[in-house]
Amino acid sequence: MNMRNLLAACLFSGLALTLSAQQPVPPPPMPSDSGPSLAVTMQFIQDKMNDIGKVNFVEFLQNTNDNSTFTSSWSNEVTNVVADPNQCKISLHWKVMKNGSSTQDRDVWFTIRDVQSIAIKPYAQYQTELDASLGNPNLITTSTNPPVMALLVYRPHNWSSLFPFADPNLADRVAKALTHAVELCGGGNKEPF
Amino acid sequence: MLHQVNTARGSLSGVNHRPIPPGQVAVHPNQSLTVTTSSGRKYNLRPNGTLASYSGHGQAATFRGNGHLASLHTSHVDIARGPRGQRTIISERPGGRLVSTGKHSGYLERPISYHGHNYYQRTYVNGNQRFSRDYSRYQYHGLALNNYVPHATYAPAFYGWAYYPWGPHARYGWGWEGSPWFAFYSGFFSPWDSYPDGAAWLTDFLLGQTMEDGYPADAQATGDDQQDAGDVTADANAPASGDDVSATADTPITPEIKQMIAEEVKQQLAFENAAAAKPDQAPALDGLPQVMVPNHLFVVDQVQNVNTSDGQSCTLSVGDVIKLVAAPPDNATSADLTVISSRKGDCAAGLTVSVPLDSLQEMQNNFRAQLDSGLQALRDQQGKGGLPAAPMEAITPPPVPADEPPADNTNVQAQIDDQQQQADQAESTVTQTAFASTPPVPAAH
Repeated sequence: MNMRNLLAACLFSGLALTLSAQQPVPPPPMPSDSGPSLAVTMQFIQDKMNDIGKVNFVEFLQNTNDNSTFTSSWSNEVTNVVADPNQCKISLHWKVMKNGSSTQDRDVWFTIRDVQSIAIKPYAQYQTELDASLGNPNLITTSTNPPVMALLVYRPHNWSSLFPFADPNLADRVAKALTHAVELCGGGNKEPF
Repeated sequence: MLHQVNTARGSLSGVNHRPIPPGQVAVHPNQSLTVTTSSGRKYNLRPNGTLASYSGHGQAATFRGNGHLASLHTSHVDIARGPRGQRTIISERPGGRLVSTGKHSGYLERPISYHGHNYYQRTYVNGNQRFSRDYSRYQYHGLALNNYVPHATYAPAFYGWAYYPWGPHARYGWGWEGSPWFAFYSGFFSPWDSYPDGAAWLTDFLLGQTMEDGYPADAQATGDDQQDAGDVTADANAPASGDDVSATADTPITPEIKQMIAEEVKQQLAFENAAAAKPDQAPALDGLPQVMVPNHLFVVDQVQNVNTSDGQSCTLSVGDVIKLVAAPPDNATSADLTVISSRKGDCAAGLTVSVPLDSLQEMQNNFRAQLDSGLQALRDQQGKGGLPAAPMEAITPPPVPADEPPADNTNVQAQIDDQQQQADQAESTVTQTAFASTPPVPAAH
């Protein structure tokens, strides 16, 4: 008599079932659409990006043409971040000061569906690569003080958004949430490989 | 010998002040004594002369070193007392088994047959709350044990959603601050402020709920004057136990311990999922035998006295955490567990104690009942208050309610009131019976 029949017999006859050893049991199945919902993910992005606050840092640069060095002081701030799950859209106010002068002070937005990739890298690396792509390979950003991580959201036609983070852990969490939101909104690079 | 002992006892107080009646004296290797009178009364004394236990006239009682009653067994009632005076009373009555854990908390258990199945239904009262829980009976190690039957089962994906990581940690506030029970257990238990998965959230839910349920009786006992099992004052300055096995301070439930409990929750979620799929095999898939493996943790759900490996007695009470040393042999009716977290006055952390299997079954039942409530709460609250929203696959299928027998409408509180009176009377008379017709000895100078 197998286990199932034995159990059924015990229940039918009113006898108490006798048990002894542990039965192996597999874990429950992972839900196919596992992970937080879009609403939860977008709320997380909104909350965390509004937590970034003002990121102030000094950029140390070297011009390899004449080996001169110089610095730039930056202040980067995102406020009023709204991550709308219904439109898969993130809007915010972006304010940037360089050496005390305003370079950006405007409302911006992007749709999650347009996002092709998300990356995190040290701000110094990002800025050096940016300068090279703009035809200035002689400009090397050697470091920042304090160390700052750049969260980059790449979109078509070489558009990208830069979010500096003083907290690398927070940058990593927001990046993961953005990546998940891209999956849920149906964004990302559409090429198969 | 006995004269010397009674002279020494004259300087003690409470029940330990009373002289031991004449009788045959046996001295044990550890210098403890057993005195057996001609009428059959038996007194076990610790090496320091305090009364450890008494039996006679159908009563068997154990005492702490400070003279407080620890347990009492009579023909109609069993009483277990905790170090803070908490009291669990068990009695078999025509209507079923009655268990009270406080003046306004306990349950009545009765057998019931419903839709071709045999259940044991418990009707609980806890303050103004009244609710039922159902159990199926099975045999384990020769014992008839009750296995909890969940009120509802869920879609496999819901168990899975609670089992696997959620992604970003969910910040969640329980709102327990300001609750008397939470203040009572502060320093011993504290919830996390964010949760990586449902198992961690359920861990805090079931720990908090277990303590909230146990609080009225625990606080009531702490607020009451400690009983002395007699008409004289116990020695309030004496340690809670004459033994050195009682904790002198709380050993809190640390985050590491909670993490281990969270792993048990995950395992139990797997068991519940398996049992939901095969309800006719439920006791084999979600019951005590599944968790009788080394290092499994149990959370104590009610006061009980246990013995250490060297025969000393101590108490486990609500919220204490114990860890199974090894699976018990086939014919064993108890198991050895190590205390890893306990409150002041309870069995000290690090001790290994022997716990009856039926008590472990009760702890496992409470664990599963709280998990059952927690799953319902998690389903109701997903997507709210900081908790992530569950995938549609997990919550679209509605919970499947158990085919439960109708609730009993017996006035359980009235029975508990009656049982409390009986227990009070039994406690107050045990020392009178033990020391009847014996003149007190003069205090030593």
